[in-house]
Amino acid sequence: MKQIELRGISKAYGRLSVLKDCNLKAESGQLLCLVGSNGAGKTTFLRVASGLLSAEKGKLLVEGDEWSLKSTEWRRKCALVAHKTFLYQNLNGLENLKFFSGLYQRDFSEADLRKRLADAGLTRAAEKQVRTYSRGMQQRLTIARAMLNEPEFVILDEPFTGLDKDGSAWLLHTLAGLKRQGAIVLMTTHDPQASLAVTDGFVRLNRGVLGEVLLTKGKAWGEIEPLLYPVATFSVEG
Amino acid sequence: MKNWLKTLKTLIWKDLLQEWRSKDMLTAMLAFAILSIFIFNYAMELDPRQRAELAPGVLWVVITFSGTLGLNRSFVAEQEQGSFDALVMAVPGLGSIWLAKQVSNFLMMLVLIMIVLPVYSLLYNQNLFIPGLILTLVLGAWSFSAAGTLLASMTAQTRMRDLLLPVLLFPILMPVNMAVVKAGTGIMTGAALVSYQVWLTVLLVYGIIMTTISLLVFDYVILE
Repeated sequence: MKQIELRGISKAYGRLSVLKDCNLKAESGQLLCLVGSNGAGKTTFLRVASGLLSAEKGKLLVEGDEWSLKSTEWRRKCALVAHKTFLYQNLNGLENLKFFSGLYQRDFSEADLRKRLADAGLTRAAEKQVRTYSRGMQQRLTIARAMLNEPEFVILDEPFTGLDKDGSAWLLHTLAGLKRQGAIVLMTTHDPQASLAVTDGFVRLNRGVLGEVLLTKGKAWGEIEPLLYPVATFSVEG
Repeated sequence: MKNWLKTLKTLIWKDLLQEWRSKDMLTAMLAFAILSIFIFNYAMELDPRQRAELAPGVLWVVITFSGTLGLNRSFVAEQEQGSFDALVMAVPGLGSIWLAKQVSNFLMMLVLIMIVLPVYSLLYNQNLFIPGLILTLVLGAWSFSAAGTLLASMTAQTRMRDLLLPVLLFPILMPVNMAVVKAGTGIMTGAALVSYQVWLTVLLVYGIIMTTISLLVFDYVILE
């Protein structure tokens, strides 16, 4: 996929309008970071983009062709790392990866899966049930699970949650690798500065309205911050 | 088709492995079933003829009530960490999620029947190992889990799922309940096949219709 465009996305929960005519365009190898206050609609936007949630209005264009956001083809091109881990607590790390690779019809050998676990720093936890993992270990496995289908569109909802310093470094390394492979990455984070090294642009979601993409190329955080957060706010949107 | 079957196998493997380790469903189902049989045994003083007439009804009440407890637990693993979303994003066809869960729930029902039958036979001093009766219960179990799995997938996303599932499920199961009891009573009392054949047909047709409807509407239920 060279380019995707989400055009005119609107979503409401009853009378509460959460997304209002949101437009976003992203290109292959680009990582866009979605920022906004609590309750701004970031998670809703990501769920709509992944095809898990229906939008009242809006369409998806892939290289100019219209696709259904709810199509199986689209969902299987996406990877989603959300607040919940999506892992099976009674299965061990290896079994979780084996299960999801089976669903994606990827014939990874056990050695391949162990290598992925090792990359995520989970070598010694491979045979332990996920319920015994710490939050950070579960997050590492969640990210390893999401990468199994070599996704073309990666959606990450606050992926740094629970990760220690090493884990965050591994995630940044993984994101850089995804970009090199040509994937499009859309991510939310409450600490945009931490991901600046791999971020190509920031976009702010404010009361359901998506702003323009603020490209980061050649800019230091000191230049970006006042543009991204023009007025300091302590409110929660709802 | 090959991929679809492979996905189905993977999903069933996961469900059975999860259940083997957690015993979430079977524990609840078996404890309730065995307790119920004991209570019925003490509550009813019956002669052998009455026992034969009542056995299918009592047995089916025990199986459906225990099965409902199991159905309520069948989506626990998916709720715990939101893995339902991951399944939706990964599988080639959403129907495979329903069918895999249906097969897993049906297998749990078979285990329940396999344990309930000897316990009931022992306590009531009555032979229930009659092929016709077992076939009726198996057909009933398929229909029960077909309707139950679809409704459980809907109610699993609500807060009042424990209450909502039986309220929605039992009215839908009325034809199955009647058919199992009527056919079972016919078999137990030694009636001629023609007198209860229609109820076996009802069971078969209900199972086919419910399976087809579930496969057709599951996408809509999940995505809307």
